[in-house]
Amino acid sequence: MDGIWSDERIIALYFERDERAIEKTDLKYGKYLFTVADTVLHSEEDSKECVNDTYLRVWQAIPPERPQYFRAFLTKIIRGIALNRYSDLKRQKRIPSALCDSFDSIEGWLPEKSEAEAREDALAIGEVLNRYLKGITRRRRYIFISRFFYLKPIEAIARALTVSESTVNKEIKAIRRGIEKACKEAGIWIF
Amino acid sequence: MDILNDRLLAAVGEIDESFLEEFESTDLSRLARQSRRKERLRRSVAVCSLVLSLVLLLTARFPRSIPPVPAYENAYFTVEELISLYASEGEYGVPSIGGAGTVNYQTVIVRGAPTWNIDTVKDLETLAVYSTLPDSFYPTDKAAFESFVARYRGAIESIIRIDSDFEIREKTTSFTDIVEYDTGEKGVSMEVYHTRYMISLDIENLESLYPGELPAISRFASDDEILEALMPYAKFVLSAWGKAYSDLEIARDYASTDSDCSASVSVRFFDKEKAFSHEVDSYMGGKEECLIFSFYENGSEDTEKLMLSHIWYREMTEAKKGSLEQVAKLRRLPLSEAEALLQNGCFFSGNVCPFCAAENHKAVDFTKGYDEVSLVYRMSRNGMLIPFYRFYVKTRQDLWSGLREYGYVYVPAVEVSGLSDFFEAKHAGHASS
Repeated sequence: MDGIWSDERIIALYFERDERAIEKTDLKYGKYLFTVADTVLHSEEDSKECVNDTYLRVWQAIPPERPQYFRAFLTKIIRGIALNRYSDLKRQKRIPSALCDSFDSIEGWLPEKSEAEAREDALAIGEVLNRYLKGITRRRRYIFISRFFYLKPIEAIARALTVSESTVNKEIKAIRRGIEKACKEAGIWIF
Repeated sequence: MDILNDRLLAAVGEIDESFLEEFESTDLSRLARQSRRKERLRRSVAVCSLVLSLVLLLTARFPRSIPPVPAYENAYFTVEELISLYASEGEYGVPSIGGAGTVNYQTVIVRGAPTWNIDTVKDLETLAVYSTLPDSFYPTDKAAFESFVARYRGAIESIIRIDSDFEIREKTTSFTDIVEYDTGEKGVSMEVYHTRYMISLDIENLESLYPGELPAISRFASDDEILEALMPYAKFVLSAWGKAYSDLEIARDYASTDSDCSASVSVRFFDKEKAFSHEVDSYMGGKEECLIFSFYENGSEDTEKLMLSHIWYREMTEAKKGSLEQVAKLRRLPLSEAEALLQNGCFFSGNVCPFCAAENHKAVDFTKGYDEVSLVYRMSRNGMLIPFYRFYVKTRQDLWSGLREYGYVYVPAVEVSGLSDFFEAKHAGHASS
């Protein structure tokens, strides 16, 4: 019974409220989740805390949720947690300014709104993004998710795809225009 | 910036988990850089699409009335030559990334000779110049690389000529190394950032462009010279268009230089009534001239641009004339026969195997009919002009660019011995595998 379990078996443990679910999740995805958080935070201590928070969040979410893609489900949770942590740290001025600059290319996409509206906005725009992503090439989806979900630096994306950074930048500009257009068509004013 | 203030970042967190799963299971080797050449060719497909505008216009006005192929434009070729022609030219017959009209692109690819490619993408913010160096030149010899940068920076920048109407508000230059994915060719990328345009210039086989040669090609034809050269062709187009020269306003768009010292310029003929505009690109120099006519429905850059025509004129040598005269005797396929070939899957696309193409790109099914057809000439590697029917199928009508996208494939417009056998053999090969 030791070793790496299938996602279905791990999820079954959550439904049985068996605490081994977290152990098995950590065994299978712990390092991966740490990497996702560390990409945002660049801090081992903070990233480990994010991983633990993720497990708690998953424990609370399953049941009733039964994720179809368990890894993706975990990834979305830890990304949200890591971004919140990033925000907290930045307010505490624990984030080097150089790191903040790495997100410059996505600055100014959308105007600021109140927190109460944020969730609603995210869901609405998320729907638009889903439709947009279905209509683009797999390569462009890869770039989109690398940059805007995982917040990977341009350089890393270019290296992964063996293209120049300017090529990635061009793709990102095209993505931005595509999203802007899709949002306008959906009645969402994003600029 | 405070990334939590960015609603997009939150929204991205709501994307479907299937996309993340796809991301994690991505085989990067399949997504890694397709050759820059393929990318350029894809763009050129888009421009060739643009360029076909006149033929579409003519066919719209005179349906099923395609003019006979002049003898000198016919060619002698085999199925194998057709295959070699398309095997290297990207994925015709599938939706192109940019769609028709999103990119103004010029390319001249001459293997074994210096090759420069300049493209402009409007409304982007970068202007890039790429150059490729011999393998031995970089990156092992850093000093040589730096020497290259110092030697060519000014000369290359001078090639980028933007019309004064397009003010360069900001311009910076940088050099980085690049490696072509398909060939492993090492090179250097020169990028000039510009606020309105992206222009990229690829230089291959640069060794033959070493000192003294690059500045030599920096002479540009004057506007008057270009217009004078254009007029014989422009008159033909104007006649079909139903416009007089005096009806038009003329504006120079941009200019560039190709490796054979030929200058190119885009001259846009605007209808004074502003109903639509007409663009003429001219490649001049050497023994080859090319005219590209494109038609804009309402003169706006933001609207769908239909490709109406692509006309090549090539100064034929005596030797070539001899071989062409042989081909001129081949029977010309009427459109109805070409349609039958299309319906039977006997067409050429980027994938030399149409069944593979159909499998990979199910969204475009050319066997069930087509939306538009035009007559075009494709030039083989040995310089022969081969007439084709180009069949279009509208794919998506609402791209991110706001333009319409076409897929298109080719059917030879002259009888080709063994063509059906070739496709049958391909089909049989698939059935057995």
